[in-house]
Amino acid sequence: MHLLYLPAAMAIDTANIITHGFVDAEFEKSNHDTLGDPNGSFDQVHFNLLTEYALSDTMTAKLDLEFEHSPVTEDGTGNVALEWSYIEYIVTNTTKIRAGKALTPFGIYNEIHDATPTRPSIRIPWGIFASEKVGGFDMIPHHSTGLYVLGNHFLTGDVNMNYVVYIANGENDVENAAEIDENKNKAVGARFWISPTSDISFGASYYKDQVGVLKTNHKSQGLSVVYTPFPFMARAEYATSKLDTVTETSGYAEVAYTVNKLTPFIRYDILDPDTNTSNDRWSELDIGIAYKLQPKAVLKLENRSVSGKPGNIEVNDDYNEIAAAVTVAF
Amino acid sequence: MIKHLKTYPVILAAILFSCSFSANAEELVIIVNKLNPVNTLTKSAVKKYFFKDLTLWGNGVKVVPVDYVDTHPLAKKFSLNVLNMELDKKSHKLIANTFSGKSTPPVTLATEDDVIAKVAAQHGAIGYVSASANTDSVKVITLQ
Repeated sequence: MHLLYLPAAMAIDTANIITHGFVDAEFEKSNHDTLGDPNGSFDQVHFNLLTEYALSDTMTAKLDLEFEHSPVTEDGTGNVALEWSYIEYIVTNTTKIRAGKALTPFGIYNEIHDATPTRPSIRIPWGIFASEKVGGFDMIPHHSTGLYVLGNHFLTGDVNMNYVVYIANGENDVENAAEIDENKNKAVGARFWISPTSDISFGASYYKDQVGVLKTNHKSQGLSVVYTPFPFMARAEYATSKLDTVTETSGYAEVAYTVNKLTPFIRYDILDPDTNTSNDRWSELDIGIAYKLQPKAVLKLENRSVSGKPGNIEVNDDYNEIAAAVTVAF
Repeated sequence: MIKHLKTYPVILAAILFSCSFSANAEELVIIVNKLNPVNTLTKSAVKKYFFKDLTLWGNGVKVVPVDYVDTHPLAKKFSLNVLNMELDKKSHKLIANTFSGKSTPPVTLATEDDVIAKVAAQHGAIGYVSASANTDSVKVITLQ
């Protein structure tokens, strides 16, 4: 007689699952015939679900599932992506290990480039963090799959040193870099922050890789500073990146000031896509304001004055663009 | 006249007593689970536990900070007096931590009774309540 039995279902303790997320919607319109958004478009940009499952006091599985531009797979529109998915293990209070896919730690914005609730502006600084959109090349891959060691060290009182070092597959030409490495070389990177007080932090970032089958050399480095004596906030970064023989440089500075529910801000951002080529610079001056509708709901308005030199392959003229967005965190 | 003069000190004492009682009721205390071996913490340490810059207690148990919704009267007091920051800055830091993947925000509860129950039930929990709250089921930490 044969006995058939079904294995007991895995029980999930929902008390150990924590989910947060954010959703936003935007409108933007430029005054140019071809650059920016000339038609004026509404865009349901992000719906991100961030979930953590605590397997134990020291081990957590984390993921950020992104639905971008409201995807419909039947139509082939929009994008669904795992922005990060990794297992994190707490070794000590000063050391954690992550294994899996994460947003590449570089400067301030890459790890929060989608997270509109984390900033008063709609757009992040494109010169460093979206260089390919404005005539340059990606300074770093948005994601890196590999092994990370990270943590905080408190030196005396509130003096804090925050670090992350990692090794990853790096950038591919064709294959999914979250699954396979197209060459034997591994990408390595690091970022260090020093915070002498709770209001100011200085950072340095580094990334090095060989890209794809051709093993094209790619190296990037950056410096960052954040000053946040609330209600004032200032951020500035400078980065350079060399891909094969081409070097690009970028920098931005931004300030914001919160008065009750209003946070006006201003940012100037500039990219030189190829330091050996003249007349290809891009720059953007963003002036805007964020209004807190409710504790976790913000309305944002901004004006973008974009300048593109004729030699820039993406933005070869000047134009102005207005944008509005509402973002909700939960 | 003399009769009225005698009542003034009584009135004054009553006023001072009520003021001190009110001040004590508004002061907050830091509480942890009774199994937690910690007895004293600096404000700096509380801040690190609250923002999960430190994620484990010395005995290896995970830190579970407990907070109130921002509209609770104690939330602002804790933010200003212990974290040394405005509520908005605290909120911004928690949002940045959450959406960068660094850490999830503290559990937020509505009432002091809820906070005390949570801290009493969770080994690694740390929270704060008013000094006048019934803290028999938890341990009150000396804040340096």
